Amino acid sequence: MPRLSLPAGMAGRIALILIAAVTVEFIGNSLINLWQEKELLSAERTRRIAGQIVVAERVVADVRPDRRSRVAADLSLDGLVLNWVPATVIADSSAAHARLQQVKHRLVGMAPALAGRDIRLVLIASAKSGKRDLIGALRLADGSFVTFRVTPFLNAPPAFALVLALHLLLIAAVLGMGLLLVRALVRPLRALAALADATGQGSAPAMVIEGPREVRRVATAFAAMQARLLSIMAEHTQALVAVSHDLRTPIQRLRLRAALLADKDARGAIDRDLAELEKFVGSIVSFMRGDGAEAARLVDVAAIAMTAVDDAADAGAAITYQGPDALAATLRPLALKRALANIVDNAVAHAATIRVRLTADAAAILLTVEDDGPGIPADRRAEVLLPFRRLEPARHEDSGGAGLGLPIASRAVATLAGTLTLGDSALGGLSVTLRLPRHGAAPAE
Amino acid sequence: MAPSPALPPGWQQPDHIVIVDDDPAIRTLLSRILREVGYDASGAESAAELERIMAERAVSLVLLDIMMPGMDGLSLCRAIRARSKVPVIMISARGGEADRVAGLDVGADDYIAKPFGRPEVLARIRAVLRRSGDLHLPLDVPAPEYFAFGGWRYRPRRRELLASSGAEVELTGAEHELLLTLLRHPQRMIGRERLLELARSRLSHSSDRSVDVLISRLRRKMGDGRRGGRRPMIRTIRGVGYMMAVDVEAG
Repeated sequence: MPRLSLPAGMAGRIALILIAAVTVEFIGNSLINLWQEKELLSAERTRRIAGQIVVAERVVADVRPDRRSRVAADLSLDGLVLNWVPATVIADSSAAHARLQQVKHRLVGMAPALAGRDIRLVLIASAKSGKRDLIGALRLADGSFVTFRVTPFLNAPPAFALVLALHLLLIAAVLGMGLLLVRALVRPLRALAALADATGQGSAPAMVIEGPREVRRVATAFAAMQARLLSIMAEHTQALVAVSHDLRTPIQRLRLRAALLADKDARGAIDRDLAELEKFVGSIVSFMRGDGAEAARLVDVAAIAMTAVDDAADAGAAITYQGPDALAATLRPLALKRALANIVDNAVAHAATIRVRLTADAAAILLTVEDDGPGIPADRRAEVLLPFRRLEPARHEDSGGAGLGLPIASRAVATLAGTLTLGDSALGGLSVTLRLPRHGAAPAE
Repeated sequence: MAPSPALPPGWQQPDHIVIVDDDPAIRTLLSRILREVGYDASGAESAAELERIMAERAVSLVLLDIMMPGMDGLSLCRAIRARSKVPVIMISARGGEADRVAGLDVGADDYIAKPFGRPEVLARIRAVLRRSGDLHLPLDVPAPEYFAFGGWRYRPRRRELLASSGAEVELTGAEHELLLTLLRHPQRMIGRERLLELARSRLSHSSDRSVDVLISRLRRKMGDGRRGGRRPMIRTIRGVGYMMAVDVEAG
């Protein structure tokens, strides 16, 4: 069977949906109308009624007029009453009533003897429960009539509310179907938007080129743009990383040269400057390069936190750790270490007292680094997560960093599928909270 | 910190250290620094030159840059290790943890990241030379692949400590040094001075933490002596030193 192919363009698909909706609405309407006027006569009963009428006409013609009525009545069947009358007031309403017209045709079709005869049909209310009967009269050759009554012929007309409800249901169904189809139609667009959103947030998902022609065209353009942007970004990153790498050899030489200097003061000063330079270069490399594709593994988060705290304490900081002695979790340890080290470094640069707290529940691990430094005003917190920003120029000499500490931490946390939040600390300064999912859902590579 | 003379007591000639680096200035500067503290130093520009030097004279230690153009320091290290027990300290500008593990995997004894200062490189050299000269551990006995003790597992090559849950527990360089020493001599008391000396090579030079602080950190990370009132694995010999007081299986 050949596969039905969708129209390639968006317009064609919209038209297809419209046509489908209108068609379904039309069919539904017709079905409701048919149901409202449903006949209670089967083909078999119609045949018997037609036959009986023909029989009645013949029998009636053979008997005297005073007995005709009785004879006709004797031919009555279940649901069909026959009678003979010399004259009738029944007038034919089939000309104005499509259904009666149909019945007449069917009767004639079942009994060809009735073709071309004067048959009068009319609907009247049934004796019981709102149904309707069919009354008919067949004019005989002598001007008298055989009359018949079919009980019941039509169901009672359904309640207005029911009909209305059916129509509303139909409309709702058609609308619902239409909406679903439209959603399906724009799904590739939404997927495209999601992919565009995800691009650059530490990942570059491959564009999926699908959907109507116009959307495919957009997706292709997006993919090309993504590739261009990523290659430019990669080039810049590579250039910066290469420069930083190349700086390390001269820094190394300077360090060794300084170690051979006789002047102790000059040696110390040079060492401090070189340490600052190194830190700057190191933070640029780690910001630009990140940790690459590190695999998540089962590690003790408490040990990582304690190590970061101990390292800072050994370097002279007043820093304490509060939390469990062991807390196993599956995550990328290098990214966590990098995030934590940078947050602690930032706190050490700006505050005197630092507290690191580790807590966990079933879903997440919370690591909070609080300090008693000046903090960061709420309206500038987003800014410090951007690279190369410093709040006060005065801090420059103190911290010596490139203004990359929190941005590096923020990036590292993103690769852990966690969140980094800045807030006010109970100690009076900044609080940095890392929230990491317990079972490291790795983001798209 | 004043440079302490690294010359061993006079009965031995100075340790001979070869610096393999493609940068001539660094070779020269490192050689000068090493000679200043009493080592004998030579520079090698390439694998071939290193080979020539090793053929000519005994070498006590190789300082090997793993990022040299036209040469793979990692395979060079593997090649050295295949024929000789000479201690190797890897130098790399990359400074990544992955490189450290790769370096230690191919048989390097230690790893130092560029740019390093004079105190760092001298401390590492001293520590590695001391370890290789350790009379308790003859060089022809290979270091164990792992130690298993009290539900824990320690892989010295990769500096990896695994809890019984399988979780990797991060240790600082000094803590690794202490743990390794205690594990190598189970059921034997190790003096505080010796432990401190070992740990020192791993601490940043500004730190003056006592061995007791370092041991208590190590114990806390290992939950030692806290869980269920069990006796501590690392036992304190008051005023003297510490001892690994559980059975250690090495393999």
